[in-house]
Amino acid sequence: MSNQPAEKITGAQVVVRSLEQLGVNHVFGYPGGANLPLFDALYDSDINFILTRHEQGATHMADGYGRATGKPGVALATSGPGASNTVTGLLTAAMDSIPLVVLTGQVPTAMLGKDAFQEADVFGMTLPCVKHSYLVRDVNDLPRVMREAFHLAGSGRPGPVVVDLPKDVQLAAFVGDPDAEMRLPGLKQAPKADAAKLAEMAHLLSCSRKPLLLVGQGAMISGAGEAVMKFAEKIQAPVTNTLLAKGVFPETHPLSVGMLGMHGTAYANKAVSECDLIFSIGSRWDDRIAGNYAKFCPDAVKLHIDIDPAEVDKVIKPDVTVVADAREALEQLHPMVNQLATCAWLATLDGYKRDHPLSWQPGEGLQAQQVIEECYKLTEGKAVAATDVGQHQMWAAQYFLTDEPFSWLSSGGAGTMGFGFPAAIGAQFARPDSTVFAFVGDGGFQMTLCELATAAIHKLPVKIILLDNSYLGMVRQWQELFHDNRLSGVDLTGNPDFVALAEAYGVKAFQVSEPEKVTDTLKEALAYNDGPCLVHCKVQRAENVYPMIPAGASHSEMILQPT
Amino acid sequence: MHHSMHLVLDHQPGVQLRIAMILTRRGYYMESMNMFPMAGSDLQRMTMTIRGPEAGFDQICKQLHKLVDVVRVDPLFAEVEVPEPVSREEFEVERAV
Repeated sequence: MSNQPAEKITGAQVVVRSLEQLGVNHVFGYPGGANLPLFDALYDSDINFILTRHEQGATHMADGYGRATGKPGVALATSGPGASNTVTGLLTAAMDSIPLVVLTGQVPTAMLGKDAFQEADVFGMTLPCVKHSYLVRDVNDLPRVMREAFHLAGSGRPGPVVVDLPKDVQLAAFVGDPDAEMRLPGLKQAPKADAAKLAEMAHLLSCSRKPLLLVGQGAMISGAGEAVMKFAEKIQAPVTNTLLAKGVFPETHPLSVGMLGMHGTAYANKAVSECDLIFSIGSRWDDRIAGNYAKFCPDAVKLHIDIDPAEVDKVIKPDVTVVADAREALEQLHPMVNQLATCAWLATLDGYKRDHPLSWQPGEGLQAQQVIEECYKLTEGKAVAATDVGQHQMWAAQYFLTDEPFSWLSSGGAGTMGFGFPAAIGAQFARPDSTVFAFVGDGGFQMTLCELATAAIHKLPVKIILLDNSYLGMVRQWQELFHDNRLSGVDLTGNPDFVALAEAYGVKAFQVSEPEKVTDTLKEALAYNDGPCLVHCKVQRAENVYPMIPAGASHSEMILQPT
Repeated sequence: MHHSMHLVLDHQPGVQLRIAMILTRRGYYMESMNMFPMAGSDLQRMTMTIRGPEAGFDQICKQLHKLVDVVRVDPLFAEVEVPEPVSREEFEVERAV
């Protein structure tokens, strides 16, 4: 037997080895004094480290990576301001149940609480926007903590997990058990569906003549797409989807009524207000889809499947709730329900589709809707679409139909401006063979556009569709409609020359402002795959998004067209 | 409205902070709290009385149970006896002693 001593490794090396063992291929981040040992350990690793230009960008990239794969994305930041720059990304991931692990360097344990250089209470400041978090004080805890962090981030209802790593812990010699198992006495296993409640659901469904299935992010996470399809086709029920669930059920399917909510399709919202039963499969009845809770489907039976018991009766009190994984519960429910007599209901909804289709009116100059619709037609929707937040996000949701899961990346719950472009970068790293669009507005794009450098250096063929109306358009729309058009703090006149800006980063750029030139310009952009390209679309300034349900109103108060 | 509950916690650093955060965000106050170790385990028993709206109590229990470090939440639905608040005069007397 060899008498060679066991290999000595540091805490930082344990972290990197754990990442390797957990199957991590990409880490997005930024170095600093407190995470130097981690970068030193990464030097010897095959993990692709992506140097971003800002920690917020790193976190959104890891989030986009998670959204496009369903597996945890990983971001790495240093202590103090490096870590605080990840907070927006953590909130974004927490609100949308995205698997994300953020590793942060921290000052040495002996300096904690002494206002050391670049010290911040990262554990404390991230508490409200994480699923769980760790401040690791003992190097020998690292293998277990890393295992737990990834398990928690990706299982049950996913979410972000922070692991704060003091520098002395990163440097300390590891003498613990590298195979240490998770120790989570408070871990809640995903509950199994209650058979009696499923039977109750089946009974209520069988009495329905105007049912509506509402699929949400929970259906996406659990991989319930096929189960939803089989169920909807069997019982012949129409399906509406939330913003985040675009792609769980194909939006081109005859039973789909598309997205519901504040800027959903007129026919989806009419279905909501007229259905006799609404069945949420992994949607938490967010206020942007439910509008006024007191007036939400007052006469309809409400059914709800959710994996998170805390979502039960939170804002809506359904008639029956099953706490379980969406796919498993739906598969169990499937044999219990037969085809429903929904012919008349489906015909009514088809009538609404004919009478109130999504439409935009050509006007003077270029319309953002035309650009998005053209992107959809040219790719036949076979692309990953990331969006920022605002008017362009809603138009993208309306006109870029999504048929595949994990192909629509948009900040829903948090509504984070600056999310779209870095999320598209993360998605392109995860899915190098896919066409990836970043639909962004001129407001949000300027919050994280420094990541043009990241995209350019890695020659990522992300197509940045910049819809520039020189306004913070959604806020302007609200001021126009609800504040007597007293426009305040929304004018972005004086925007930079975006083409010159992109070119300064070495990014190919196109500009278009005439409707008849959109198709050719987009074809050129789609054919360019030597790196990122930016299509600067100078669109009409004062266009509004319709249909619209004003905040706090009911679905029957939907505004279909400008008055 | 006062509510009491027993909790079983995995006694990890910050667990009280997480609990306080759940309460504060939803407008509840912690009126009293006791913690003691459970023999033969790493777990802690906590008994807590909180004050806040009746309507949200069920949601508070669910949100607390959702915390990774919270193993169990057992709400006590019986009316809770809350000691009379100490008056300013009594406080002054106690302080003088």
